[in-house]
Amino acid sequence: MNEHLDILVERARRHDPDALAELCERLYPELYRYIAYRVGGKEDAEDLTSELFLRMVRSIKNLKGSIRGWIYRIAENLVTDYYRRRAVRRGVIGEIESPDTMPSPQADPSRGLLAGDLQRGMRTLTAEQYQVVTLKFLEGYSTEEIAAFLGKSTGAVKALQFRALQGLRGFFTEDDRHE
Amino acid sequence: MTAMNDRNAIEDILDDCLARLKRGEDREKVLASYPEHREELEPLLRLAGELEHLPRVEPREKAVHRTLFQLGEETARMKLVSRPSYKARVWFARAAVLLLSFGLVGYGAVSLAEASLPGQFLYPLKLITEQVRLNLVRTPGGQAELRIALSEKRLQEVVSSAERGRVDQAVLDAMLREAAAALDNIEQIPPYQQEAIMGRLGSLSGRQQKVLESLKPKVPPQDRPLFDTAIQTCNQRWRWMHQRENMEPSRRPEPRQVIRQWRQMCP
Repeated sequence: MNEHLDILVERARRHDPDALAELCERLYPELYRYIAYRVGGKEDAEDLTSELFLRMVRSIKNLKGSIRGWIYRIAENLVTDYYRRRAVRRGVIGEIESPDTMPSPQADPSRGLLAGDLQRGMRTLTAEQYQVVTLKFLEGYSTEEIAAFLGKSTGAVKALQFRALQGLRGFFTEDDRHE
Repeated sequence: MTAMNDRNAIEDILDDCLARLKRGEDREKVLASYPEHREELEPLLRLAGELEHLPRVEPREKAVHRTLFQLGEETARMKLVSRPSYKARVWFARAAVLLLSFGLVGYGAVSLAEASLPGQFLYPLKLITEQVRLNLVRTPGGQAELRIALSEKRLQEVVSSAERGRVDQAVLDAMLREAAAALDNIEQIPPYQQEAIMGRLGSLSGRQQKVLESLKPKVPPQDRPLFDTAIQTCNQRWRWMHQRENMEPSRRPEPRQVIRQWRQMCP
């Protein structure tokens, strides 16, 4: 399957429209989910996913390494820009240093498409932890596959996985104390 | 060093437990393999299980198609502005030499020609430039887009000429022909783009009909029958596309039938 994906990426790098379309059809659902769980609004997630694939077309020629590692980084940048723009719109001008400063769905109930404790907790993870968690638990990839996608060692992925789950556990323990 | 090794060990152990759970092993049995880490592992495995059962969000089909269409447009746009192939460059060079041999000075002349109208000195150069552009676009989708743009351009020329009291049947025919030619390679275009192109052709025909109807009183009476024929063709095409759009997707005529019908509707 990955071998076929590599061939597809090679064709897409030459701007073969069929290869670009197939790549988009294959990667759209998981990247949409990645963004949707991150931003929490269906329309915003669709717009960002659209923008993500347009960026992919414009810069796929420069791709080095794994397509997933590369495209997930672009997705993460788009999500960060999205929250930065929202912060500016709200008059809170400043850098967003980490995801836990991002508004939670509860802060804005109208956007609560993915409301729920787990999703709220997931927003406290770092970008890398979040990537590992979504690829592992939502998309069902193995540790080895994730390591190949993200260009990391399996040890690094296991460490991110462990810290992500510990972080989530800490978040819920903290939450319970507040309640 | 020992603390670091312990950390690595628990990370490996957690991964092993998750892999075994995924293979269908019972949680209690998995935890029993690591009694010394049971307290730390148990809540993490429970959390992992809950994450796996999060509601799966699926994208809307409409959103995927919209993105695919934008992708097609972006690819066609990039092909238009990117460096043409060697073959295309040779073709373009020949065309440029031809233009120069007519005593016209390259780009300046082409720019002037762009604004020219039928019957004017530079109009044939404008048509040659368009032909070169058509040859440079290699994707069937890009060619269809360009044909639609050319049909729009012919309509503008009809408007400009009619405002000067002139009607050129060749331009009216070219307007209808370019719109029909947009469907020439429709079968080689991905399905999501086929629908979008047919939708655009439908609305183009509707717009052309309205513009021609509003222009008709301004043209000399002896030329009005030419307008009537074009208006009728545009109306037939618009109605046909409109009916097709309103059909259930499974009952819509195949692209091959669309091409045949549209060719029949050409004057």
